[in-house]
Amino acid sequence: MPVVWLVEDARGGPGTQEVRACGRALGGNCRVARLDEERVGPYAPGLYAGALRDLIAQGEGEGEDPTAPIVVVLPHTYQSAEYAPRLAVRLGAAYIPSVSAAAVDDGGLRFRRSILQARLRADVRPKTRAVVATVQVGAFGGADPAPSPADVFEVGRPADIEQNQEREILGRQAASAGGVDLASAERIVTAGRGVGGPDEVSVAAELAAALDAELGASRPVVDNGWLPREHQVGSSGHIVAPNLYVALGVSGSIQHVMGMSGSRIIVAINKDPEAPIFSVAHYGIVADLHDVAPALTRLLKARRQSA
Amino acid sequence: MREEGLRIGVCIKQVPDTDSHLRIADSGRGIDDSNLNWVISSCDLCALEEALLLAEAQVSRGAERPELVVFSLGPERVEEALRKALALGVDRALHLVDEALQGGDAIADGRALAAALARERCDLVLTGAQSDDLGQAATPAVIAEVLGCPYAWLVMAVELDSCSRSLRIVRELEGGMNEVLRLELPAVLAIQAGINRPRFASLRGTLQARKKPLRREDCSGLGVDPRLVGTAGAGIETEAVSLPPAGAGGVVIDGASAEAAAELIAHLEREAVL
Repeated sequence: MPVVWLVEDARGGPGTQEVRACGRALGGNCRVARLDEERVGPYAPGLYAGALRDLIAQGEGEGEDPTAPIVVVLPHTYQSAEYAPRLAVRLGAAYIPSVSAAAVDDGGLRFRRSILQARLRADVRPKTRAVVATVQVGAFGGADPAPSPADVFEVGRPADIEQNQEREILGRQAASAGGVDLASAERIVTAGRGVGGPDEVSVAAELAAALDAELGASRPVVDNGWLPREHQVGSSGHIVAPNLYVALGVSGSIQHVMGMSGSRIIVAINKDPEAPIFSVAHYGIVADLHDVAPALTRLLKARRQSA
Repeated sequence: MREEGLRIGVCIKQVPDTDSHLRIADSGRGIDDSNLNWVISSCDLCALEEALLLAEAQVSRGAERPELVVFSLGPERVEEALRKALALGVDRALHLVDEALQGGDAIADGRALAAALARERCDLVLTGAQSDDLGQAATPAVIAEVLGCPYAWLVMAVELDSCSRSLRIVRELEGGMNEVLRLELPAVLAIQAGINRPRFASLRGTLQARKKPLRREDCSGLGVDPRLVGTAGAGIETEAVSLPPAGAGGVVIDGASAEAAAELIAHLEREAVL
């Protein structure tokens, strides 16, 4: 039975349920490493990696099998995925990031993760005794609420804090200007890279207008400057859950799906039948969006006029 | 004190073009790589562009132009990616190529790259936030750990102050927020997609790239223990790869666009979302 360390933030935060669900899937002897900024100090990657290493390497539990696998589970967030690889190096552990499933079988520990922009998935095993794994937030299989384990260990300041001066926080700012209300929208039409270019975004905008929907954008559309960042749906943009979500030419990266999978009805229109977006869609049309979307717009306008 | 100018190292990974058709290899443990297009991973292209922009900004400010060195680990085919980086304006290239370096995971590869970066005494290391193939977002953190220097992931803006040898960077957080940080050199930055629009190589650049230095290094040249890199140094092994399941209960609508559109509207009316 593995010894499983669940890393939890004292302030809560995304991924807590998924981390516990992963611990349960590993069926191990679970304990919580609780990170409190008040105690450890302001976040810096080297500091947090060092603090966790000290706690885990101490081997808190007595009378344990010294050969039992050790698994450290963290959420794959913008903070913990930044320092988790450094923790793995310090523990001499394997590193397996953004897992969507975990299990223990005859071959030992097994983790599943998406590769190649969610087009394929890989089953991976650690070759070392210790492994650091991060859990994909919102995508860990069977993430029903799991109780917090009874054993809670407070993470302290690390013995070696030379690297505490590694970054100075100057401030926080909004990434975009705002003005687009995606969070409370009932319907969203999102333009993906498949729309083709800045001049073709209008095909999505026209469908959005016909549906009374807000206009969303996938990350590549924003990165290419076809739409401003305030339109971005996904883990680095807006997390949305409208009644109707229409994805036009969106491939469906993990980060995008995380931002919209809570939508009630998801429609995907994409000419690539292998696009991962189809695995979350309730209705899928495998066709050129430049044919289907204008046809939809025409029909919706006609429907409105006859109503 | 170093009298010479700064040196910026950029680490790039050559990956299969994700738009190309991917086939699972007969072994079931990876993809069939016999018929793939290979390209520089998209975030790494942004890292290259950011290095070129930082060098140009130093020059326009009257400071000495930093030297730009590109690094990549992989088999012979990787030379093409390095030549492309040289064509974009990087000064020289290092190819980490050795049978013993093949088959590594992010930790093994990070160790090898860190050894090369340390030998070249890079003041600033830029690389992509995650690769388009495995997307582990781990190699840059491992490099920072091995070099023992400050690190930031998902960097959306970089300003370099060569006098104070420090950086002012913007890092992406969740939910549309950014964080502004100050880091001292030497440092490792993992560049997020969207920070810039990577340029295309000019014909002149492509011709010049042929004459720029491209050095090959193996384990002994890097001074790394072959047991800590490549397959031997990898902490993980892939047991199987598979296709994700098709949509759970999703309805696929076929037919010409007008009929498909009409059928979709009928479904949406039944779902009461129109």
